[in-house]
Amino acid sequence: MSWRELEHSADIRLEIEAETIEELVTESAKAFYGASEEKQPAAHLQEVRGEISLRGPENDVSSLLVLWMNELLFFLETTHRVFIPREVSINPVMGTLAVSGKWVPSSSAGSRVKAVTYGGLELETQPRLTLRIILDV
Amino acid sequence: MDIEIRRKDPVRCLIPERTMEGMRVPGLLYADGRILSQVENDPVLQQVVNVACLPGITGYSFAMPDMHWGYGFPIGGVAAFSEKEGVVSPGGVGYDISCGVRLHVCGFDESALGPVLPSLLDALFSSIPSGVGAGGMTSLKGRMLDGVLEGGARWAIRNGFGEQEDLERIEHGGCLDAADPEAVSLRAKERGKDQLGSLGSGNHFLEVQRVDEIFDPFLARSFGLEPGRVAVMVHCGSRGLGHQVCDDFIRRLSRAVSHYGITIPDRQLCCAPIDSPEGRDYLAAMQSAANFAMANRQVIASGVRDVFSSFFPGEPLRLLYDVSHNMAHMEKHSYGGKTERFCVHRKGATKALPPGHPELPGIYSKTGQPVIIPGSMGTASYVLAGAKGAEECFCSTCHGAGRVMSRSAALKANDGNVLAKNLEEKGILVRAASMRTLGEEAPESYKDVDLVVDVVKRAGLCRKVARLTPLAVVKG
Repeated sequence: MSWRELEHSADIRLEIEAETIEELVTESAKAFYGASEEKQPAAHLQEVRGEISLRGPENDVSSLLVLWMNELLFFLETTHRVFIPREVSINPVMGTLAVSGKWVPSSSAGSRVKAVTYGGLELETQPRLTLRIILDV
Repeated sequence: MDIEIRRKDPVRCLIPERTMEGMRVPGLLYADGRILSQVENDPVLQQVVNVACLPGITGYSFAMPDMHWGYGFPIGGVAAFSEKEGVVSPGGVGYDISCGVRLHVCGFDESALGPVLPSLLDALFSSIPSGVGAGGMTSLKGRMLDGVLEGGARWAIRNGFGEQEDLERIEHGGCLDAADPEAVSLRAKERGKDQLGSLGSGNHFLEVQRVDEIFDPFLARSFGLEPGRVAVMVHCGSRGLGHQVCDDFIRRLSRAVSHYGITIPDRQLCCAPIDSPEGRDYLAAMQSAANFAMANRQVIASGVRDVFSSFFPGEPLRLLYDVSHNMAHMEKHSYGGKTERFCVHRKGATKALPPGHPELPGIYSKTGQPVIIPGSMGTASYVLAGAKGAEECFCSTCHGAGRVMSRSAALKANDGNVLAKNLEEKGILVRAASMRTLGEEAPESYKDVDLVVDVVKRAGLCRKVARLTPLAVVKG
């Protein structure tokens, strides 16, 4: 597992690691769903292909990742669907992110996570890409 | 960074203005030695310092004794910003806009509950939606949601959820008139449209309580509280809608800070001048979300009344008060010899108006505002009343116990099922949508609410009226 929960007195603080920015996008999705207690579905009988495109601030990867995880939260809460990324295209300079993948039905009724926040947001690039982020529950 | 803390008196500590460059006012912590020892290595103190750097802050960056680490602003934080030079910040309100608590008082004693309590609790648990993803008691079609955002608890009562006389017992008469549904994003509306009349998850709850101890017989009688009397407390907020409003405006105001040349030490302190397009829009959207929260609690209370009336026909469930503890309001205060309007942010802090305050409804003009302080699950809650001393912190006080243990640590230490059994052995029945949440919300995860209340009482912010203990809990 490339993510773990860190101590936080009220909410969920995550540390997510990856080798590349693209992988960090994928791992962030896994961490978000894991923290939401969303089980990865075993069978994908109802899967539907889809794409999520976002535009965030320029030259600010960590903010783009907050947007990305908030997007997953919105769809989980309002459509009860989980997005499984396949291909990630990210341009940190322009602040754009396009992820193709598949939608599958959620295994739960909603998300215990209520917001993905900018609080305590940190992105380290050495020795591995490491994102620290707090989710409001 | 080392943060210097100077004790001012037994319940007040100062963080001097020189602690960090950019501080405009000192920090003021309401804490005795025991409270201070719980927070002295916590990031919350840095957050108190950071808030002190914001433009237009007046007096102090305050932290109540239930302070703990929040987003940008500390939870338990109070900050007032001058209308002319100050700012409004979503981080100073929090994600769960107008999260709050209301207390209903029954006309009968605990002895009348007798053997029906388990059935009553089951009925409450099945009637009041709670937990992750729970839909509300009512679904809002078309323009109905805008009606809620405009009308708050007034909308709920117009639509059959409650009684007209409730409105006098809800902060601001149950409706903030400057709300504007147009300022609320479609995303926020999408998240909220199916959630009206639901508790949600996390630390939200519905509790059947008994009045355990009276501290001020005159005030208790005025509030209809007698020893042994049964009461019902509801703690919840604006659900996904409020969270989305906060998220939308954190993004928008993050851009505004550079536009207005505001320097902030933490991006979650993003803000805009009060009288700017961004500031006005946030206030309008935030007030709409607050109206949603007040309507939410009103609808839930209507469901609670229905359940109680099926067990105790003809017995009213009178509302004592409904008050929010995550809000920013434009308020008039006398401070430093001048009377001005301020945007008072209370995040995990409660308004506490003293007797005679012009904003009080007539029924509480002589007593001061009832302040409802929920404890952690399985521990006491309090009814307080606003006191004159609260004017030093813009008529504010604490909001609850305040966490001291992380959710993961609480979960390691507590199995939800075992906890429920232990509480039952103590005479507290529990029904929970999630045993995981139950474990996370174990009583020892929080500060001792008795200590917290003791500090605000000794500081003169509030008078203690009554202590209530839980009999039965519905946990989200």
